[in-house]
Order: sequence, then C-alpha cells, then structure tokens
Amino acid sequence: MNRLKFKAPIATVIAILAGWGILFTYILPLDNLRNTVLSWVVIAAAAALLVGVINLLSVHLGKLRGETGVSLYSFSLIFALIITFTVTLLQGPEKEFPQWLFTYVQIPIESSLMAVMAVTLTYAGARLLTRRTNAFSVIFGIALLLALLGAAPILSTEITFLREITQVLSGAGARGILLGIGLGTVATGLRILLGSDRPYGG
Amino acid sequence: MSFDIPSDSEEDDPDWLEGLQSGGDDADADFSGSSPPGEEEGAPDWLPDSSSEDSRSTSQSEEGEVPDWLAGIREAEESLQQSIVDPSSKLPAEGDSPDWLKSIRDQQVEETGSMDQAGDVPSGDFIGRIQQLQAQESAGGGADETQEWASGVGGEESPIAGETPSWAAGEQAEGADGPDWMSGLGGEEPEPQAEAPDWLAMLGSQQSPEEHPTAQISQSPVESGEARDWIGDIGGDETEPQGEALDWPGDIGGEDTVPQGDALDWPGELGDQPPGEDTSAEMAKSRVEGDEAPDWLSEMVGEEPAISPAFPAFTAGDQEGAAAVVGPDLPDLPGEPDEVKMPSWLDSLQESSQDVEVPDGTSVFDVPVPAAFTDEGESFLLEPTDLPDWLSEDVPLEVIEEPPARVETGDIDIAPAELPSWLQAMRPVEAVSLPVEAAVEARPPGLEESIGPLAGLSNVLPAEPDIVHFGTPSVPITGINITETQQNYARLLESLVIGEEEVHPPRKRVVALPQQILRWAIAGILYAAVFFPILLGGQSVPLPSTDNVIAEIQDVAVIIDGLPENAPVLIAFEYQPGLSGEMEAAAAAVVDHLLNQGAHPVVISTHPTGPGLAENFLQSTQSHHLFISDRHYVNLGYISGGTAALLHFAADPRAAVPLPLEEGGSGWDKSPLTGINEIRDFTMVLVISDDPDAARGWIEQVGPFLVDPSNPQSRTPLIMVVSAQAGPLIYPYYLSSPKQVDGLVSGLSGGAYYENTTNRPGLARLYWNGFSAGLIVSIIIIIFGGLFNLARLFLTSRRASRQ
Amino acid sequence: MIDVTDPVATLGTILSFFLTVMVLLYAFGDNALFRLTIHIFIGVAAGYAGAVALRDVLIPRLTNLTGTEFLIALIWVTLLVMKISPRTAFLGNPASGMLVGVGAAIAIGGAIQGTIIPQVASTSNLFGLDMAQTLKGSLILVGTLSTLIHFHFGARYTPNQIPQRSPIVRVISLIGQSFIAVTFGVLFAGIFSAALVALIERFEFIVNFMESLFSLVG
Repeated sequence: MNRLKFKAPIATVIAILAGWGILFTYILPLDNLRNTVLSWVVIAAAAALLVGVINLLSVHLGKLRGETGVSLYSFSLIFALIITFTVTLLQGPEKEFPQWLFTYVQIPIESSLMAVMAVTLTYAGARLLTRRTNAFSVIFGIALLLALLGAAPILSTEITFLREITQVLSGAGARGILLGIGLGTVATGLRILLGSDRPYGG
Repeated sequence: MSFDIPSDSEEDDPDWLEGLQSGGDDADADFSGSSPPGEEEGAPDWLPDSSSEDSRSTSQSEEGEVPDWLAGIREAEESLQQSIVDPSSKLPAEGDSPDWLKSIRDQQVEETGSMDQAGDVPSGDFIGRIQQLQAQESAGGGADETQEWASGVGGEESPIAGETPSWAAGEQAEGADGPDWMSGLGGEEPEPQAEAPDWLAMLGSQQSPEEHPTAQISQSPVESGEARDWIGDIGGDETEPQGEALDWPGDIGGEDTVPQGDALDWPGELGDQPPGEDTSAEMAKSRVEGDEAPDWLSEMVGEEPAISPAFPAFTAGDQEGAAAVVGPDLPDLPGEPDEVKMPSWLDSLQESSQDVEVPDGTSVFDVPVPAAFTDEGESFLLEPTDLPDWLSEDVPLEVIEEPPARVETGDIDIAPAELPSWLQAMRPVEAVSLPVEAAVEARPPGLEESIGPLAGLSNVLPAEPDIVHFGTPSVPITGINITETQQNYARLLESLVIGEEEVHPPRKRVVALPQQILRWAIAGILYAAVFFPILLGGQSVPLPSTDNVIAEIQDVAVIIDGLPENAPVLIAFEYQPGLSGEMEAAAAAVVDHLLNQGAHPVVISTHPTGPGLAENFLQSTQSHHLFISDRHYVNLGYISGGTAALLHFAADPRAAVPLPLEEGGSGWDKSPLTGINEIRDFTMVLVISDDPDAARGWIEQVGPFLVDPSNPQSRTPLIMVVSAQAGPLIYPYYLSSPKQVDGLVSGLSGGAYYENTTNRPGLARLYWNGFSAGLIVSIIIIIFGGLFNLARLFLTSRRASRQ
Repeated sequence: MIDVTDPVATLGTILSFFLTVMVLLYAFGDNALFRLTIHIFIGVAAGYAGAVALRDVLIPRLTNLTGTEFLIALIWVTLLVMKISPRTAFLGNPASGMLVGVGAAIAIGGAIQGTIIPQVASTSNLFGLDMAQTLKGSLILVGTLSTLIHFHFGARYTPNQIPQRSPIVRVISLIGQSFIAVTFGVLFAGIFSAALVALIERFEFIVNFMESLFSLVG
C-alpha cells in the first residue's frame, strides 16, 4: 500500500482545531475562547499585510539590482513606499503629511484609473456581440441597455418602469446567486475543516 | 524462397527437391518449373507473371523489376519445352509450368529448333529436363539415379520426363527477345540488368573445389545434347541442347559425369560449358562473384566430382554443403534502365565462358540434349562468350556424400556494400559494443547458465546483466560519423533553441489597428460628452422624481428622521479610494441628513484606507457641520482580519478596538462612546461600501448581533449606501423578511433620489447632467456596436451559406 | 481649488492635476508617464497600508496584551514573518493554517445564519394577496430555483455516452441561465455607472482646477 504524503501536519491540526473551536462558539457559550482566537486572528492578519508589503519591497529591490540596469519604475516605487511608510508610521494616518499623500496622490490616481475603465467598459459593450453571439449574450445586452435607460432620465424623460423591471428580474437571479455562494462557502469551509483542502502549504 | 523439395523417391531427396514434388510450394514449383494447378498466381514475386511474360521479359530489361536470370529461366524453359521429350517425365502440362520456365523453353525451341532427342519429354520444367538428362547419362551409368532424384525433384514435374520446364520453354519461346541474361544464351548480348541473386551468383563462382571443400557441386557432364538443359547451354555445353526437358541445374554444373543418387548435378554444368558454346555462353554476362552455391544447388549434385570451383558441392544429403552456401541475398533493386548494371554473375558467365567448359546437360542427367542445346544448333540461351566462368568451366560434377561444411563467414568473399552515410553513423562503435563482446568473451567456455529459462545449458550467451547496460556508457561514444548536412541541421536546431530564449521587443505598428481607432473614438466621444456639461455647469436634467416611490431609499430617510439627538451612529467606510467619487455622491446626502439629526458619527473601517477615506469624506462633504470641522467625531480606525474582525467587533467592540488614551483610560469611556458595550448599543449602523462581499460580511456577521436576544422585535437598524455595482446583490437582503437591511441607497441615482427626497442638493446634483449625457452617449455607442456586429454576422452567415 | 494661502494644498492640487491627466491619457495609449504614475501609486498605497497596519493594529494590540496572550500573539506574528524568506516560509504554515481555519469557520457560520436560512425563508414570503405581488413573488421564486438548479452539475453515467443532465434539469437550467444573464447585465450597468461617475468626478476636478488657475492668472 502506498504511503500517503501528509504535508504540514501541525498546520493542518491547528487549522482544524481553530476552525471547529470557532464553529462551536456559535452554539455553545464560549465567548472568551472566541474573543481570544479572534484577537489572534486580527493580529495575525495585520502581520500578514505587513509581510505582503515587505515582499513587494523585496521584489522591486531585486529588480533594482537586475541585469538590465537600474529600473526607474522600481526606484520610484521603492522611494514612494519608503517615504509614505515612514511618514505614516511616525505621524499617524490622520496627520497632515500622510493625509496629504493620501488625498493628493492615492485618491486621484485611483479615481482616474476607475474613470478610464468607463471607456473600456463602453468599448466592451460596443463589441459585446463580436465574439460570442447566442441567446444569453443578447439577453445580457438587452438587460444592460434597460438598466442604463432606467438609471437616469433620458433627454429629460424618466423611464421608471424599466428600473422596476430590471430590479425584479435581477433580484431573482441575485437571490439564486447568493444562495449558491452560500452553499459553496459552506462546502468549501467544511472541506478545509475536514482537512481535505489545505491551502496553507499543507 | 525455399529450396525444399519433397522427396518422392526412395532415396532421400534434398529438401528443396521435395518441394518440387509437392506442388504446394510455389517457390519450389517455380524452380522445378511446375506450378501447382491453379496456383500460378501464388508464385513468388520474383517469378514473372505468366500473363505478362513477354512484356515482362521485354520490360525487365527496361525496368529491371524481375531478375533477368529468372526471366531467362522461364524463357529457356519454354524454348526447351518443345525439344525435350521424355515419356516418363512427370513434368506438368505446359500450362502449369511457371512462366519463367516457359520462357526458357520457348527460347530453346526458337533458337535450337527441334529438340526432340530424348523422346517424349513433356514440356515441363527444368526438373524434367534434369531427369531427362539424367536418363541419358544413366545409359552410361546413373541415369536411374538421376531420374530418381529428378523424379523426386519434380514428381509430375520432373524434367526427366522430357518436358521442357515452363521456364525453359519460356526461354525457348522468347528466342531473341528473351531476357537479358538468357539472351546471351541465344547469342545476344544481354542488356544490363539488375544483379542476380547471390545464390545464383555463387553458382558461377570460379573458386576451386579445394578452396571450398564443403561446398562442392558434383558435376556430371552432359552426355548428350538431346535433352539439353538450358543451363547446360549456359555453361556452353559441348553438345547442343536437344531435349525438351530442360534440366537447367544440370546444365549449370553439368559436365560429362551424371549425378548419382539424389544429388543434382546440374550446378556442375554451369561451369562446364566451354567458352564459345552457344547456349551457355550466352546465358549471362556477369561474372559470378560468389564462391559458393546455395545448399539446394549443392544437394542437387550427386556424388559426381565437383565442377568448377565456383560451385559449392551438391551431394546427397550434403547438409554441410547446403549450409555452406550462403543464402541468396535479396536481389538488388533494379535501377533506371540506363543505370541497371549487369549482374555480376552474368558478367562472370560472359567472361568465363571463354575458359570454362560447361558440360552438356545430357551428360549430367543422362538426358538427351536437344539439338537446340548443341553446338550445331543455334543456341537460345547463351552465347559462348556470355557464359560465366563457372558455367564455362569444364568441371566434372562430383557427388560428395559428406554434408557440406559450415561456411565460415570469413571465407566468403562478399564485396562490402556501400552503406549510406546515415546507416554508417548508426553503426555501433567498439566503445559501446565492446562490453557486450567482452562479456561474451569473458565467460569461460562450457559455463552453465544459472538463471533464466536457459538455466542448465552451457555455452549460451550471457544473461541480461552482462549484456544490457543501463544508463550511459562509461566510455564516451566517439567516432560517430556526422556528415556536413547533419552538422548544418544541428546548428540550425541550436539556433532555434537559443532564439526561443531571446526576448524580442514587440514591433510597433505604424498604422493603428481598427480596434485602436475605435477605442480612441469612443474615448474622445465619451470625454467630450462628460466634459462639456460640467464645463457649462448646467443642471437642466431633472433629478429622479419623488413621485416614483423607491421604498428602500425612502426607508433610509424615515429611519434617519427617527433618530434621537446625539445618538451614536456607527459609520463604516468600506470602499476603495477609486470609487470615492460615486460613494461620496451617494452618501453625502445621507450623512448630511444624519448629522442634521444631531447624530454622533463613530467611524470605523476594515480597510487600511478606510480611516483616510473617512477623513477625506467628512472634511470634503460635511465640513459645513461644525461637529465635523472641529473633529468631534470618533475615528475607531482600522481593524484587520476582514470578517473575523467584523465578528470580533460585533461580539465585543471594546475588546476588538481598544482605545487607550495617552492620559490613561479608554476612549470608550468618553462621549459618544460611553454606554457602548455591545454593537446593538449604537443607534444605527451605516455601511458605505462599494464591494458586495464587504457589505454581505456586515450583514452576515454583524447583523445577528444587532438583534436584541431578549426582544427579537427590537433591532438596531442597518442601513447601507452601496455602489451601483453592488446594489443588485444587496437588494435581496432588503427584500428578506425579516429585513436584514433596513434601507438601501444604491449608486448616484439613489443618491440623487435621496437628495431630491430630502431636498439636500449635493454632489449628485452636480454630477447629474454629465451623468445623463454620458449614459446617452454610451447607450448609443452600445446600440450601434451591437447592430453593426449583428449585421456583420448576418452577412457572414449569408455569404457562407451561398458558398 | 488653488489656495495661495495654503501652498501645501496648492502643491497637492497641482500634483493631482498632472497625475489625473497622465492616467486619463491612458485611454489613448500606453506611455511611460502612465507607468511611472502607476508605480508611484503602488508605492504610496503599499506604504500607507503597511504603516497603518503596524501602527494602528500590531503595536497597540501587542502592547496591550500581557502574559500568555502576548506570548502566543508574538509567536503567531513571528511565524508569519518567517514567510518572507522562501527558506523559512514553511515555518509560517501553522499561522496560515490558523487564519484559514478560523476564516472558514466564520464563513460557514455567516453563510448559514446570514444568507441561506433568511433567504430561503424569505423566498416563500414574497407572495401577497394582490396579483402584482403574487406575480412578483412567483417570478422571484422561479428565478431563484432555476438559478440554483443551473449550478447543479450532477449527471447520470450512461455507457458509451457523454454524461448529461436529465432533460428536465437542462430545461430549467436554461431558464436559470436567462435570469443569471439579466443579473449580470444589470451588474455590468452598475459597474459602468460607477466608472462613469468617477470620470465625471475627475473632469469636475479638472474643470475646477482650470477655473482656479485661470482665475488666479487672470
């Protein structure tokens, strides 16, 4: 009989124990246990975010020392990251300079990226029937047009019934989608709690 | 090609002779000149088709598909068929004879005229001829034996019956048009043909019998030319072929002695014909290169003395001699007519025809040689000058009892073939093959095998571990012959592999793609449609009418209107900075309404950018409220962990968000957080989110904690201001019963409706004109694009259906 | 917009203007300035998030913990930091396992009590006495059921044939696909609306900046 390879047994045991412990708090009065575990999770999640930022820094530091020479893009990224991190850490996010960076650099750039997406989405809508032309594509396009027509008055004319129609039809489908998401979440969660799925390196 | 001949006589016939008797072996039948009835179509490929005999014989010289010697045999048979007469012949009917024998016979008849010397020898195959010749010889001694083996050879097809073998008859019939190799028999120069099989080449070997002690062909001279085998003509028989029954093997080796017993003496005749003899000399032009004849040939020769050195000895049961004969190689493929070379054995025949006397076939088999085979008559087989040496040599046939010895591979003088370069490169070099040979040589002789199915046997090849070498050989393989073409291919492959690793920058297009042009046009139109209304600053487009009741939005207004003063309201900023424009436009009126009610906002976020967005939102949209401008609101900051943080905060807000003060104490003990111990202690929870998952997380994790367990009907209201992309997925939670979301404002249109409902003009009003213009332009572009694609699809399908 | 009394804000406004224009020009093609802007944005966003996580979560929470709780929390943090290096990344698996296990349990509890039970119960409560409400409820019920059935991919095995769902399931699945197509169309319209508002907001900013600039110059 072949021996099954069982990688990361400690991580698997910890994941299963922590998960089943939290599940039992839903039905048993284990508030202290729940709060303790959740506090660990909050701290660990913050540490995970910090690890991600450090990893991003290390990647671009490696690009800085690449064979193709100094990358201006990576240098600008590293420079902006260090400046922002240092200032925000020292002063706090609500202070002036971090807020200045947030208000005059991050928000405008991110908003502009979203604004460019309007052009992309319009272009995608215009070429909707280019690749795949079937009944569902046509239904999708019609629903799109109806929703847009009902979103705002067209030439000062408001078409409210379109909004209601799309709202009812989309609500039915959305409810089914939500139930499907819920069922899938339960199934995936149970697989993790039973040790079938080990996305943490097991 | 089998040479086994079923024995039909009392004495042991060679195997190849037995096959001639059975009639079931087409190959043997072909050799014996008799094909089983109705089995002509089963003849080996190298034998010509009877239907195309003539064309084949003529085309053979052109295409070289069938060896000439075969064609000649057939023609000779046919030519001799008429001349050989042997009442006791068991030759099959002429129609049953193979074509090649027929052709031989025919040629014999044409060239030598009447060949009826030995009686009624039916036109059969060469076996009959052999038998006939034997019968003639036996008159001088040994004819019975000859007949016996010949009868054993041919059975009904025995050439002793006097019938000319079909192939011989064919030879006769063709006459001057016979196959090339046979054309020499008739005095014509045979055209260049493909090389004859080696077995036949070896028949013409001029090597002395002493050099091949185990391969000797007993030769017997042809006593008379009455039943002259065409082979006897090949060897330049002293007497002209006369008999119909052509015993070409006898002619091949025949001399004066008659083969005794079962041995066929005809191979000895091949070299016995003196040069200048008509038939045998014309038989072939190429010299026989091989020194040994095939076993069947040696077996055919009885105890007669060996003929020319070119022939291996044929003895009765001479197995060694038979084995000594190298099996016939595959005939070389014929080339173009211009490129076809004369078979080597034909060359030898031609060259040696001057020197070698081929005994008369009749003398070998005691079969009267037809006149056609005599010197007087016109030879139909070979001119004396065309005879190979081994045919023209006057070598007596010998009948050797001992079996032919095993031929050592080193003794065979086989000209090495020219290997193609790719084949030479595949030859194993000593470095690889050496271990195998060394392993074989290393084993002591007589060592018994201990493993495998050969356990217990001795002197066997070594077992696998000694032979099979896994992995790479220790000795580097050298000496691989690589041609220049192969080197070029290797360089090309290497360059291709290296080229794959190189990164080639994409070529810039000079002319834009149609998709790029379309994209630019859409961008320009959309930018213009949005820019100009903003630039003009008009507000002509009316806000959504409040006549149309939107319940979820109006519920928000109702709930906020019902808030007490100084009520702590939890506001969660759960959107990204990129959608701050829409969220600010949608939530500004709601928060303004909230602040106007005297609520104390408590800000929190599960996004790192949440606190910053909250500050930006409150300062940019609500700064007209003193409460905000003085920063009298509480910012709980960022809590990490996503849904875990929400559950933690919902279960225990104070533990989830500790607010230590610098001066000591906790910020939870200060207004407006005093009295907040649980999340349902907040008056209202307002979630501003652009992500449906984040909004769903608040509903699933925080929502259950908003219900008072002691009074399920009492519940802290949960209001959501979401982006238009999240509204359809959150709307079912508003429709649920009991409601999980008490109020819902979705997108700019929802904010505009709320502004219109609460009469609070704000960002929504500012953006409404541009929003309306942008929607119109985008709707027009999408409609036109869809119609264009539909039309193109229709035209394409229509064009395809027409084609 | 441009306030000469506040040079910091003015500088920020000018910087915002240029960054906005560089990004909006991406609609007409990629360029080096756009890539530079994006890299600066990523640096600022990552630095801001990392600093907030460290300052507002890790430091205050760790300092507030004592004794065993502090030790355990420190262990989790240390194990997760080991994930930075590939050679020591395996040491962070237990911490990752804890995060995944707790997250899965929370997701299960929230899905069951927050979505499945309430939504299933409310689907049957949409019917009313009037015809419009009944029609609406029926439509929502049919849409919900057909959408759920569409996500059922169980098929019966038939020898020498491709496994297929039963014909009834296939027909219902087609109806569900139609409802899903409508939902996705409405969602697409919502995303476009959000992007359009972002575009309007950026043009509003540009127009205000230009007006301020012209008023300042003029």
